[in-house]
Amino acid sequence: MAISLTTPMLLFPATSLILLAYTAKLAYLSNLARTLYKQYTILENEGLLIQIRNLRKRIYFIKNMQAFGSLSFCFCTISVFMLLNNWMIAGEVFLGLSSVLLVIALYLSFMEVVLSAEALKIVVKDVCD
Amino acid sequence: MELSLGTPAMLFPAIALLLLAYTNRFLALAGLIRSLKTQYVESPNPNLIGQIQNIRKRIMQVRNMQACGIMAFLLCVVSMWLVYISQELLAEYIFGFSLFLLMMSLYISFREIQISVHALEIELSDLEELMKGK
Repeated sequence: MAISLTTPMLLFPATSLILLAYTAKLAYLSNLARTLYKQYTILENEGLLIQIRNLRKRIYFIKNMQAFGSLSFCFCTISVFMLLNNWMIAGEVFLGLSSVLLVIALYLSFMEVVLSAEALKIVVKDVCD
Repeated sequence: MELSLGTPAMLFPAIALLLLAYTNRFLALAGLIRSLKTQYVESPNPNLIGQIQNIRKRIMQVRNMQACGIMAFLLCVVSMWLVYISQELLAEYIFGFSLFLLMMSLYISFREIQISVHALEIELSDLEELMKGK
């Protein structure tokens, strides 16, 4: 299939919205980790420790999601640049790489969502006990 | 490839959203560094210094990201205007330069992400020892 100059640009708004969502998530989680850590130094509660461990794992996921997302965006831009210079094959290769990176970022995001309910389960379990 | 009037315009939503993401990050970091400074004044802790240094570096990087992003946006608008007055060749150059600035901005963003969790890591470093003790 032949791609035109505007084909990689279709990915732009999507990628930047995803990055926005990831940034908000990271800011929220790192805040939460700090608060829980402060609580832990006062209360020394085992449940808090498990929650913090869970949060840390998720923060690492989000960090990688952001890294893959921004690289994907970067490759997308390079692809447009290549197409502008009429280097069609290079443009296609970069677009391909960019979409692979985006897929990885989204897969990590899925893994993170799976993990995310765990921390809440711990809180609820505490209350139930 | 041919540049039409709509081509540079397709970058607009992307760059605007990207700038929004950068601004959020900037606000979060600025707030954090202020509260860490207050904490440090109350109880001088070497852990805090490490975190503050990390965050300062990242704030500079975010500032550069924003600067590159805004310049990319501006050149994009200029390029659109040049297409409008039928200066195709010049428009292509300006558009290329705008893309280049966007790449720079994203590359700095990638670098910033790589050091981003470090401050939290320092904050939680004594937790690691507590966990090992268990």
